[in-house]
Amino acid sequence: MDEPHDTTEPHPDVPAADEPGADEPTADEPAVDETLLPQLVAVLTARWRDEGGRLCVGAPKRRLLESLRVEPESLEFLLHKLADQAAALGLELRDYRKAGDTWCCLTAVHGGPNELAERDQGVLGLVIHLVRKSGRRRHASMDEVREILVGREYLTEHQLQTILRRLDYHGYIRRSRGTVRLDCRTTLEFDEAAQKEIAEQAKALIL
Amino acid sequence: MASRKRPEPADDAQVLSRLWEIAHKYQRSLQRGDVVPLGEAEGDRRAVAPFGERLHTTTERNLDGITYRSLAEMQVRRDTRRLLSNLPGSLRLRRLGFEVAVRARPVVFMHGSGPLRALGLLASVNYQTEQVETLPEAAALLHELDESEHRVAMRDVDEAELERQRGEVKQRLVGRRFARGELAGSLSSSEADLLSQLSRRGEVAVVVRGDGSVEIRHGGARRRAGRTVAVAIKPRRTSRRDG
Repeated sequence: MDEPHDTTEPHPDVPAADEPGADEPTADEPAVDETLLPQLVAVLTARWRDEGGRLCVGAPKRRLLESLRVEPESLEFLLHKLADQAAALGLELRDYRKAGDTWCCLTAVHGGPNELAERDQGVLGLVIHLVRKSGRRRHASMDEVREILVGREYLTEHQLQTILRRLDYHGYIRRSRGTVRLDCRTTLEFDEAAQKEIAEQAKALIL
Repeated sequence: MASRKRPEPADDAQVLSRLWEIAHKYQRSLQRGDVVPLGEAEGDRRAVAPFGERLHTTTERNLDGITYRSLAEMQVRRDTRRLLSNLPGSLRLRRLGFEVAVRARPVVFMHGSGPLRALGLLASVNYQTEQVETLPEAAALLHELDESEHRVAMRDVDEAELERQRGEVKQRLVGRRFARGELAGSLSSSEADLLSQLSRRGEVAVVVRGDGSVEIRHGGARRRAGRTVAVAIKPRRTSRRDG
């Protein structure tokens, strides 16, 4: 399951920054090395590819535990500390499920440019609509996408294939056996409300 | 005014039933993305119009409000479709791209190499940001401008060269009388500028005579004592020396 869900709720063990003694560890707090925070930021904002060649967004908690060599409680504490500090920079710590692991990454709160051209994003908008329309199947058929975009002369077949490959390359969609699915980067960058609005726009503008 | 197709409902129950029917019809159409034709929607609006006086409870008025809102939403959808039908497909796709872009809250990548090595089929994707290339037409135009004899080349100011040119202007003009148009025609832009400088320095005096003609004389304190007027000319002579 690739559905992301937010974990930006304040941790009960983390005192608010303006409370007295906020910087002093209490008896309940695990002993953590806060110099690990910059390393954590580096790991969560690194871009890399897995063995299958898919773009990976952030890092799985399991690997964070292995590489930082800390206890799970300490990692949770560090992540919540990071979430508090990231919020001041307009960033948000998110976690999501992927391939049986919980992954963490940082996203922008107020939007910003991404790596796609306008036309690529238009195709992504249409795919979002078709996937939502498919209900529980949660995928769009390639034939349907082709029929709309190529059949109605929005794009040529070559342009469509290039754009789909680019979306696949950047981790927005997954193509397999004549179907297109939304990959975790799309569900991370576009929440439920945004996807609903995009689907409505796609219906009005393209269909 | 009642709808032409149906007689006006006789009692309040029929009014509510008819309102409910119309509200439902538009809600369903909006959900499905259908557009109700203008003639049919206008008929429904006329059918609903007289019901307002026969609605008493808050629930009935709410139902009336929902019906009107549905009619309005359908009107907006119909107008939008009509306007969009005139837009080319590429623009509509770009517009959708814009709608997607403004709703994105992108994942932050700060570390790692920018261009990641792609595998398999993905290797053929050109993932680089689109480059703004110089259009061939623009390049040709620039080349043509460079070659043009009217193009003013940038060069360093050489004071000795300027002084020499001032001397030339002085030698050529002093002691002569011109009609104003004639003077403009005999000067290039840079020569007019030099004449202005010479006049300001007091090395020459540009005397405007009663008949409107202009006489260039040697300067001096006596010349500067006269009444000063501004002489504006638009130099028309072109010179290879300018280029």
